[in-house]
Amino acid sequence: MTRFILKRIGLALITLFLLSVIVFAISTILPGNVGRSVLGPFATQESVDALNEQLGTNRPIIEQYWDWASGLVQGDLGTSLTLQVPAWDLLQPALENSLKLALVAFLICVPVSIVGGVIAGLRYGGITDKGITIAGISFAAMPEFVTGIILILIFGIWLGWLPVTAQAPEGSNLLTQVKYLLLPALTLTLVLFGYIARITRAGMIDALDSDYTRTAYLKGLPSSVVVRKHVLRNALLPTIAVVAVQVGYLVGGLVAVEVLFNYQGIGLLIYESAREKDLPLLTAGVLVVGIVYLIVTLIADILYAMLNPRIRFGTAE
Amino acid sequence: MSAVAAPEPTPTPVTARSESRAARSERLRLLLRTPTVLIGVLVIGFWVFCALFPGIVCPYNPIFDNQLPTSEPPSWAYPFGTDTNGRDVFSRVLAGSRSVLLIAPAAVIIGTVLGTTLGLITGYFRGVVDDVTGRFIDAVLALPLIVTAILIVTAVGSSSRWVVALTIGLIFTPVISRTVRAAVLAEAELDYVQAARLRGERPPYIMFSEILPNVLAPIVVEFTVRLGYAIFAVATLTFIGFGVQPPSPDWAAQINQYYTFIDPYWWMTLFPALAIASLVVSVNLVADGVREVYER
Amino acid sequence: MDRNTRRTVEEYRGTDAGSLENNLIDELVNGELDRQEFLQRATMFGLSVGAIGALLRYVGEPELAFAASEAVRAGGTIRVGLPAGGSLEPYLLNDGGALALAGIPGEYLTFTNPQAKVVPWLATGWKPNKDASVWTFQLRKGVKFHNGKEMTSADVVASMKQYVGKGSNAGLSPFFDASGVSAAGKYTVVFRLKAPLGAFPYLMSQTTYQAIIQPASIAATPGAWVKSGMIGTGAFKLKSLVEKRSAELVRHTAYWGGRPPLDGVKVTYFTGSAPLVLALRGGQIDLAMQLSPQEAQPFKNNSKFKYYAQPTSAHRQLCMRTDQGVLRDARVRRAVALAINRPQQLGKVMLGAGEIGNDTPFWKQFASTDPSINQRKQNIQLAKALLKAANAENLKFNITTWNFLDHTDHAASIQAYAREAGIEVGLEVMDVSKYYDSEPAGADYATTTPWLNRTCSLTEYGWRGVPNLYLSRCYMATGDWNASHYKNPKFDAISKTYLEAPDLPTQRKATKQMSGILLQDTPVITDYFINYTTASSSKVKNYVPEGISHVRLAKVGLA
Repeated sequence: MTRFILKRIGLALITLFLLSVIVFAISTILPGNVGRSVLGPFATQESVDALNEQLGTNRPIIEQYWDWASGLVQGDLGTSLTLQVPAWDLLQPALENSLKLALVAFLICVPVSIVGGVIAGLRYGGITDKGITIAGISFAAMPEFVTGIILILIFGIWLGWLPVTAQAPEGSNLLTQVKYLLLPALTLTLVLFGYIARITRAGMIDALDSDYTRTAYLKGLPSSVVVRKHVLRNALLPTIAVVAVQVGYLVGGLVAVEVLFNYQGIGLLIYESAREKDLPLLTAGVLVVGIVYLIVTLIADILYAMLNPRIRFGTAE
Repeated sequence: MSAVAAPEPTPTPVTARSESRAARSERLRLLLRTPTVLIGVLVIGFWVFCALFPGIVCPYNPIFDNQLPTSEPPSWAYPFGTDTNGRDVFSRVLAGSRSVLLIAPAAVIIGTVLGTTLGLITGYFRGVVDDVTGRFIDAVLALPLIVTAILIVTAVGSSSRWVVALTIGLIFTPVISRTVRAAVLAEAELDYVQAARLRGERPPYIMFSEILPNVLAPIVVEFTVRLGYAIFAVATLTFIGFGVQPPSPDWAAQINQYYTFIDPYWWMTLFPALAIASLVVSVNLVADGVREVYER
Repeated sequence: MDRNTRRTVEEYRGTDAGSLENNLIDELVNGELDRQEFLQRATMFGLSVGAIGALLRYVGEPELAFAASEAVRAGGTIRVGLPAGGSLEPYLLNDGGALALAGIPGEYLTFTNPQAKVVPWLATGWKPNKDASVWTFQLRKGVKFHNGKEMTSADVVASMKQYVGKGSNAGLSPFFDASGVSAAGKYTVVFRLKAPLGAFPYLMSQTTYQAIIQPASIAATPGAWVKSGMIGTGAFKLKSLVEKRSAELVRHTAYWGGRPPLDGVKVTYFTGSAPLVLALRGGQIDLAMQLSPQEAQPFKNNSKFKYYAQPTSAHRQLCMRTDQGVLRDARVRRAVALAINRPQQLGKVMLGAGEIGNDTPFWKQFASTDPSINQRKQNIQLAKALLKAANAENLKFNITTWNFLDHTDHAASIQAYAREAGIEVGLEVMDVSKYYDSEPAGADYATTTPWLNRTCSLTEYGWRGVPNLYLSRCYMATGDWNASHYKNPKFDAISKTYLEAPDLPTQRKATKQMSGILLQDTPVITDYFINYTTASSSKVKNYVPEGISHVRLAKVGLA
């Protein structure tokens, strides 16, 4: 088991290294005019030239990559071009916000989806199953910003129950912050519900159909015990994998939702830095998102391995 | 990459051997008899018709007829209302299908072609090529689709719709290549491949002329599944401002332009949104049907 | 007229009034200036209120009445929404959101009010020398910075030196350099300009939004203002700042303009206009910095909100390349201009929130604008005839612009009008980062960036108190914002006369001549001037929007 974990960490590190190379490579395709980016289109050419001279931006690429990478290892993610502050100063609060939203969305979405999938699986082929599946497909078919807009319209404006932006004012207590996060979390729940429920449902059907389940029933165990002890554990294995991937999406992939709700998370920061051509900030942000994803999948893999006896005891790899 | 399944549920590799004509037309007939698939095909067909013949279906010119009363709610005269520029929203929604029906399939075709090629290469050659490519793919897949898209679009510097199509195609390549690779791995062990090798055929020939026809099934399934995702992705990118710009009647561009006015002019946003939803649902219904038929 | 008044005036003429002021008074007396223009000129020359009043009485005009503001209750914290912006350092300011925030704790020497008059602010008076190449400013006494220190000439000098320094965005270095600004006493600052400039006081107002007066110790190091807490003289001082996200400010009790009614200000940055509008609608903010007329419209007849519209000289320039491409023939350009039905366009695109333009930068409310120029009107027949004469009957070109507020709608409307004249116009709508960037990135900026180089581009220009900026940077051959590449030596010569003339008749004459030339050459179509529109919750009292995006909260209260 330890060997497995070590191997996985090793793989993750290699992936991380490759990611940094790819991100850096993409960012250098576009040298851009640093001075112009900072001062904006209406500045005079002489001020732009003066600023460029001051910042000194013409070194060989390998040297720049090395500086950047070694800086990274020491925890320096670079400096934002437009604001001239360390990138981490901007990324850290944004990351915190994204994690908060991901957590709230996770806590609502996952249980609801799993329950939906379990029920659909138990009532396989029946009306409830069809209903849940179709609802899932329909909501999943709408891009998240579409779902978000409709929810804003209904709950934020027509009914006025929930605030339309997700950013709670500074210093709000936990409950207020959660209230502000409800609309985006609900949006995400609707978007992901279909997907997670479907996996769970498939897992349920497979598990219900399998040998060990039949054995359990034949042994005379009551239905609820069978489901709880045997079926769920095996049905949920693929669900864990899928949910883990979604966490990666929930932390960095919510650009459209964050734009819609003006939520100051890392997706919005990446989007803004792309529009402003603030390349150091963009690359730093992208890298952070990648790191979060790798960490989460690493944890998911370990979790999966612990739950899956075949891997735990080293027979399947 | 990991012991856990790949990021999305890929269908179990279908080891379909050379299919006879009869088998193929049998599948087609089965497909067309599934009610959900039929609905999907009908809806898609409707939008394709609108995209091809906007002149026939649109009561008003979606771009130039802008002398109508502005910001009118839906009524008998204007079933979807009018926008702030005095254009008929119904005509614009019908005409807007063209944009997405051009870009999304283009993106998927690019992704499928590249992904298939990559999958064939990695699946056939295995070894170092496969390992190294695999690690690169892992790295790229560590980022959410939209982040990668933003990164590429920014690097390219332009955000025209063809750049968007290319970007989405590139992003789908790794995932599609994985599926193809899995299928190729299974095929590569079989006799006819060994025979070809012994005959002295060169690898490109083996890959494209021998193996490819036999892995078409999963490729077709991937294509239809990715199409739904592509529409999704293109719409999202357009919505946040990369891609087609207003005043194009493209659905996501309309939402981008008018969702500021969602209160009180909800109709300018709702109908394009429902249009997107209808197309994605239909594509997914067809994709599901195709997948079921091929996995039988 | 009573003897006292006459005595005051004669005294003034004899002692304080320089030749310029005497000129002014002559014009007033001879009836060449009307009251409005006199006020404008007089304030520009820093005539004291007393002198102005006396002079007006001298010519039989009623005295100035000072508007009484709405009575407001003290207390409350206003929540303001601004569009996301870049750096807040004064010398780097270049976008609305950032300058709006910086302009709350930061203030300027003078103030260009909504009527395009420059009035005292941190400076109480100013005088030019004979040819307006040296300006002497008197500073207000007893103005306290947020750190408790009093503002003196040393602070002004240090700040100004930073703004004409390297890498500054203020656009002041063509007018004076670091050695040209000096202190002449604790409350007196002297500017020695490189060339005479009649409108210099306007340049020291908030329309040069970089020119915030900082404490000398902070101004000495460019880039230190934000880190040291944005110390300025404004009605509110910075309490906390989360870059790119939000800021909190509290009342500056020792504010020179009187204790502000509000306890504090909470600023939130919004990415994109939709969240801003929705937040105002949902009651999460009290005031939005700016909304387009279309966005502001739903707030108009709603008792929970207030709608504001301020006429400004802000306008859109449809620049057409005069040196190359299908639009280089002036007849073709005039044809395009003649295709547009301006009043109808204004009603449709801007919902009437503006004033039609005449293809010149001379806004009606500029004192120097000569109102006798004929307004261009739609004339499709003439347009077609011109196209025929220029052999351009199958004219086809693209309008390039970016997706901001109603730019695309504006371009689409021109496209529709052009169609009536048989011209085929395509729209190239870019993302902002492409429109204002070199193409390809890294190439020489001036010669490759779309907004300055496309055959036809549509760009918005912000509000100013005088048209100087537009003339020197957009129309003159040496201008760096000259997107139409317009080079007309005759025009440049007249423009130079205008820029240097401190007296109104010369300026008016120049303006009339320039208008004539521009109507003939039409390098730029200015089809309308824009009202600055915004909205707030109905709780907000006494708010007057300022045309270049500042939010002025010193006298605002919450019901």
